[in-house]
Amino acid sequence: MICLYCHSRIREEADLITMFKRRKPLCMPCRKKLSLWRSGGRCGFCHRLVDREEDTCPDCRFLAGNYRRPGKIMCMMDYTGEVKMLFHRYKFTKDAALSEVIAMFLKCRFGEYDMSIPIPVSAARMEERGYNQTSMVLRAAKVPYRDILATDKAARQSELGKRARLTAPNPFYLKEGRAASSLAGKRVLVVDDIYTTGITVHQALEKIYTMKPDAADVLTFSKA
Amino acid sequence: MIIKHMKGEIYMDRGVDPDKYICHRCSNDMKRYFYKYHSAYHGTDVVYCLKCVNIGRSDSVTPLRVIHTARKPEPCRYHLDFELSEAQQAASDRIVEALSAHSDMLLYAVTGAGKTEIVFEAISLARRRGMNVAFVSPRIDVVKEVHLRLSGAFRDSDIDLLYTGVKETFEHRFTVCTVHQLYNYIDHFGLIIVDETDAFPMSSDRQLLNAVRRAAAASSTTVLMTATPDRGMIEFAGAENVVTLTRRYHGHDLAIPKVVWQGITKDVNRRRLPAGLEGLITGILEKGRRVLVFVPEISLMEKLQPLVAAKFPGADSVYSGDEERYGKVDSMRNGRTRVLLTTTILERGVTFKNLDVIVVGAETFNSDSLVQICGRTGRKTDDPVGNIWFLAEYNTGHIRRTIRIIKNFNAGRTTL
Ligand SMILES: [Zn+2]
Ligand SMILES: [Zn+2]
Ligand SMILES: [Zn+2]
Repeated sequence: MICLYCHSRIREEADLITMFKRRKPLCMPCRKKLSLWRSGGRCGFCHRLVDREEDTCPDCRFLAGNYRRPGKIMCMMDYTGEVKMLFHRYKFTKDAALSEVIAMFLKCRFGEYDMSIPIPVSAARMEERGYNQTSMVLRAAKVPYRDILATDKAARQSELGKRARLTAPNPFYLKEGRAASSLAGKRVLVVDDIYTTGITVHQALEKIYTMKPDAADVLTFSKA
Repeated sequence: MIIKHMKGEIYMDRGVDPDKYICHRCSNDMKRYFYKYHSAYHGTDVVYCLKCVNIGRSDSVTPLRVIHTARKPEPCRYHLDFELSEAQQAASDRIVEALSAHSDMLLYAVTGAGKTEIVFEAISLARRRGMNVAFVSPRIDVVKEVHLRLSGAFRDSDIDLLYTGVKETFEHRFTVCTVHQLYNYIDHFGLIIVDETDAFPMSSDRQLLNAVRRAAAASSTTVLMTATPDRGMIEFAGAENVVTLTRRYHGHDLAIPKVVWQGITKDVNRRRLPAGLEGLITGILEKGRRVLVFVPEISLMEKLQPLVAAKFPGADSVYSGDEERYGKVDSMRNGRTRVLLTTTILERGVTFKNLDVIVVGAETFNSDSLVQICGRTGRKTDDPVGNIWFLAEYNTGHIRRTIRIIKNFNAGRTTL
């Protein structure tokens, strides 16, 4: 058994307890490193690090002025240098095994939702990477999800400015089919890998809200 | 040949054999270092190699492609703003001879011997003869530092810099990179210099030495450099090809560590600054010097740092994943920080003036690390000795061996 983050061997202690526990693919030192949260004030809504603690940060106020907001945003890992490295490896060197590492940090009551919906990736990104980094983590965590969103965005969103992204057409659309039309009155959870400006997730929510769900929350693995 | 993703001719139909679990790029064949998952996109299982994934994934659904490059000599002049000492010159001559004879070499040199400069002449000669040159190290910090120094000396050469996440490449003729990057080269370099050979991620990892072998051209010279060689390195180079340098470039002795029998974890867990440590730091600061405190684990360092900072305002700490790492090191260099707690990340590649060193929990360090840590002191001609303290709960073979190695160096002997 090796740690999928640092590739060092994990000593397996064959006592009664670990024999029945599912073995974790992450060693203790790596687990500690990736669990760190930077100290400092945070936005009460999106959990961004801010100079002065307040209920909503300027970014959240900006989004609130342009989009309908989710019920709440949950964030699983702080975007520290180590976590940044983790996601870089997972997304850009195609180290798919790290989905299991990220899955270990998902502490969310998925049972409270009728449906989990991952943010989709474009065909170009799929060709490059070969997997949707968000749904792969959900699969590793054995969380059922539905791919009801699709995207036709061509350019990397991060290359566009905030204003340009607001005026550009919403890159998401709902797939045809029963799953999307059955959202009415349901509690849904939109899942994304990294929350940066928040625009991506809010554009996805815009589409989902058209199906009149009862509530929509956001889960993001990490928060830039 | 150079392995390139997405371009060039096909060298292997796929990077990984999914049935035999063999990686054709890094020759990993240990099953536990492969990861297998079902890919809906490919409609099949994908197996990829974890040993070399950080330089671009080698997997069972993608071919390995290679490009060929032509050899090209260059004048390769260099500039050195001091003269090599007699011992440095003799070592340099031996390496030049090895280059002509296509034999390997082990440069066994005390910390602070000035070994980088010793290979300048061989690098220049190799490039004049059209051989491709690689200067590699297992540590990213060392790679960056060496690239800076070589760029300063070989001002007319285009020197590639390669490590995870960074790629500044020209024509792959003069390359500074981490050892892992060598997996992408086959039969390519006429001269490979491996710095800090003992710092291999797992020093017993023969696979990396195999990568060096494969990246080297049929007739070539590999120079391993280290302050603490092991049997494997001597076998690699051949016992007759060992060159030793026991004197630092400025000619002074290395400081011998003073061992203080004191554990610190008990105090730290009670949120008390250990009295022995406080006394040592006070003494160092009173003399106008600065100190690196080496701590075995991040978790212990996190508990210790606030205790030290409460008594010595401005005391900081640094570890490998630290985002402000380079800023903190700079701050130590220019004297704004005078007490810096660190993990083994600063055991190599850094030079600070007027530096003393304290190692807490010294019983948990191995001798390769301890020798490097001791080597941080006395690196400047105007402060050539420095002080070293080991705080240890009990004695270990590694502590004894470290002191023996240093005493032997001072007596002009090696420890094999
Ligand atoms: Zn690990
Ligand atoms: Zn906010
Ligand atoms: Zn490999």
